[in-house]
Amino acid sequence: AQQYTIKFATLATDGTTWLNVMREFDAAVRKESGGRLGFKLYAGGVQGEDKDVMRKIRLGQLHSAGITGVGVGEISSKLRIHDAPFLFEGPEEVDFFLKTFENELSAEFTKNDFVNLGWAEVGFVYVLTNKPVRSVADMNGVKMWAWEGDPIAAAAFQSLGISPIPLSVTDVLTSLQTGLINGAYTSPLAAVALQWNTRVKYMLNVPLADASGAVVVSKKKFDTLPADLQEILLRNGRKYMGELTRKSRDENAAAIQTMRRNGVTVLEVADPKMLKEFAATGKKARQSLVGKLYDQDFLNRVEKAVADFRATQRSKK
Amino acid sequence: MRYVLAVDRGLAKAETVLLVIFLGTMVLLAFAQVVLRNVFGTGLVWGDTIVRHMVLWAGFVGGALAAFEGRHISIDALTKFLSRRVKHGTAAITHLFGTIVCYYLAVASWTFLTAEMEAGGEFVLGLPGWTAMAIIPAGYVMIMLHFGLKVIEHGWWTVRPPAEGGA
Amino acid sequence: MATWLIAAGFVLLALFGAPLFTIIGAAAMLAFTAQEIDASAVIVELYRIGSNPTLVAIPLFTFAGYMLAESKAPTRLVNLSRALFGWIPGGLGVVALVTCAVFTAFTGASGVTIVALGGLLYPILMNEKYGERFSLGLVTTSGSLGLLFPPSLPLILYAVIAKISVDQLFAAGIIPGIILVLALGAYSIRQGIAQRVPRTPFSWREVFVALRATAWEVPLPVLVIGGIYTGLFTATEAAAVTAFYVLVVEVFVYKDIKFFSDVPRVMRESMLLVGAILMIIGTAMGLTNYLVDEEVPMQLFEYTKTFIDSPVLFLVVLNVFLIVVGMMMDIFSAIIVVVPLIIPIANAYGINPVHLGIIFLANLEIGYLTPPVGLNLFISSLRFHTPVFTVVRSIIPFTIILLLALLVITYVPELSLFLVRAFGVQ
Ligand code: NA
Ligand code: NA
Repeated sequence: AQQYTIKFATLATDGTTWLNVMREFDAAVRKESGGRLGFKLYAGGVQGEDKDVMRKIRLGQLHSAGITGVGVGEISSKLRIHDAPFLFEGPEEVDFFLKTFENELSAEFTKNDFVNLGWAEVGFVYVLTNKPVRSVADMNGVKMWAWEGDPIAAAAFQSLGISPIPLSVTDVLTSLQTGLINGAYTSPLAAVALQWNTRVKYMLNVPLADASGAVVVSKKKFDTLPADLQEILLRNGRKYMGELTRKSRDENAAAIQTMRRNGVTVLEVADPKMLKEFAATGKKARQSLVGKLYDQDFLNRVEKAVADFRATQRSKK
Repeated sequence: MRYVLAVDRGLAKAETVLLVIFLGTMVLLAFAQVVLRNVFGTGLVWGDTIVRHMVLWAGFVGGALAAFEGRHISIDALTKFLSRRVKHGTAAITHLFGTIVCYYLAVASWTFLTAEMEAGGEFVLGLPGWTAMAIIPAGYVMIMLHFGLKVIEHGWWTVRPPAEGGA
Repeated sequence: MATWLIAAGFVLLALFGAPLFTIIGAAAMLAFTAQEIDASAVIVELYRIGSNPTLVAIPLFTFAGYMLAESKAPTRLVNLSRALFGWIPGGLGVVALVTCAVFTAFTGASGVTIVALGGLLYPILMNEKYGERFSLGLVTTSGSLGLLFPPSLPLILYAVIAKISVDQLFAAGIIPGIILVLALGAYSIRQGIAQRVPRTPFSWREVFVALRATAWEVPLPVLVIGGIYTGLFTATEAAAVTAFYVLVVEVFVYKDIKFFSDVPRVMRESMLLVGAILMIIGTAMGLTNYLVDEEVPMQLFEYTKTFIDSPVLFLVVLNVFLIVVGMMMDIFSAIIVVVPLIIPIANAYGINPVHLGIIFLANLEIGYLTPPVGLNLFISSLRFHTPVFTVVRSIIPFTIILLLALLVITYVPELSLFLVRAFGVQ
């Protein structure tokens, strides 16, 4: 009989790749543990959003969750460097960062009574608008939505010189339609799922940030498991979350194509001067978050590692 | 008996003042957000968060006043057929039940609040997260007090039924 | 065994008038504790109120509605409707229906309509020889008519609990709401002809005078709807604009309400209702979360699936079920407790969630009029000093008409969904 049940909650809904992979993960764990260990899944946000779910985990009502940056930040704000504006230009850089700082990041989870079973990013986030935006200057006058209480979006848009309009996510679609806002940001996959792509004309093809995500389990629950089950959980977590990350990157790329097909113009920024401006804005925004989310030393080390990696990658080409 | 009623009313008066403050803040701040956006193209980042919490705050104080006035939503299908004295008796019992439940709700809220204090986190404008939630245990305590005083009142009238036409 | 005893105790306490929130709260805390989960799980759910942007509309619209009720707006509104519809046979009945519907949309179907407008209309109806039974039935029924019109409180609450967007639900309610008004309007006209009620001749002058008297209040619905669909503000912010606008107009323009002596009293009165609703919402969210935690909705669905295989049959069962719910519970508790349970099931049968909301609310609108707990029956009985039995008898023809209209609304989803698509708010 099943001795250990991990109660797990996520915002992802049934039928999505996210949940399908999670079910595969659960099946693998059940099989390898001989039925001793398994997840009880609460999908579609029935247990609430990240902050609610984290409260329930602290309370012991739930044990595990698939969370986005907000939830990751609840564990430790330092981890949110993953979501910092204009830090990464592509998935290779993200993978490099996670590998290089693996021990430091894991320690951050454990220190705060969590175990990270695997990173599973939401994906690169793009700015969607109803007027063409190809440069920092074009941002001027965009009525940009921002997720209220999201310090990263606030910092990013502040350094871009716009004061965003805080609205709840459910109000964004109608507000794009009515013109209350004419700009928003999210991952392509989410944009299509939320139908935002039907209400915007342009997508700026410079990623604003890479939105993080992870599957975590409370250390309290993890410690009740015998060593062999812990190993099964960690190994499969890594395996399936890696698979999920690959799949979601493919799906995000496909979602951009869907948006194109449905009439969204994807704006490329070819001018290196313009790209440099975006990079400079990002640097400023990341700096403004020092002391709020992470310390100066950590930011310096991450920025340097990513810059070195980018240089070696370019020299290879 | 007179003191019980006086305490009950005094508490209700203080709650009315709080209510006016909370609802007033809600109306002005929420309206200001619309004006700021449409006229000045900006908004207060912390504005909506405060307004949403004012719902919670006004709701709990309103709930306390509803307890004072006996206006909480109830089914109450049987008491219509009872004599006045028995009615006071059942009211004493239902209010005693309410007092006990609110005590446990207050305890649960306190547990929630202390967990939040340990977890840290910010509300807005540098205020710690638990400040936004403090109304929950406080609110249940206020309701508990009103219910408790009503137990004494109805208990009194059950033992000493007033003359018809009285309270 | 112990569980059943406790449940029976709760039912008994409820029937003797214990506040519902104490019963729901006790049940939720006991249920979690039995699962060895700390009772503060209830509070974690309750605290989600503080992160719900749509809920903000509830206190703001309620306050605005109470301000209107307290001012002379009801009289001005009746005068205008009379000038517009008084010439129709049975016109006064139509006047009552239309004014009550508009008013209920703003006061949130809280019974205020019966107290404020019913008290005004009932003597006029009686004067003009509509007969006691018809008059009483009309004002009682009108008390909940209009809760499908924006920005009514039940619409907002439903959107909150069902996690659908308010502006979609606002658009969806308009046509079904009009259908209910038309159906009862037709009955009223028929009654007016049958009882040979005298008519008032139509006069442009009177329309103009009445319109000028209420010139500051008439634009309110346009302001609300127009503001939302032109992007001036969101549906929730519309509540703030309405509250502020009504405050200024009634205090400083019409001077019906005194700022220092009346406004705090109206604030208190309106927040009493909001507090009462919120206490139930809070604990009911906790109880619902327990059901979710135990996967009850899923089991309920599995069970339903075994004997209902078509959406049509499901809708029939749903209608019957909701009317029973409406008989037992008030509308706010019903939304909070029942909606989370039926949504996953209705989804599986392919019922559009917005249409489901309209079906649900139209059903509960009738629930206001069904004994033993039809709230408006009691309010009417209190307000007009009439035994509840007399009130119940008076509303029978009205209830039958509403039930027929309900069937139309239920089985023709297009009536609810047409405007949603037309406004492009899907
Ligand atoms: Na009403
Ligand atoms: Na009812």
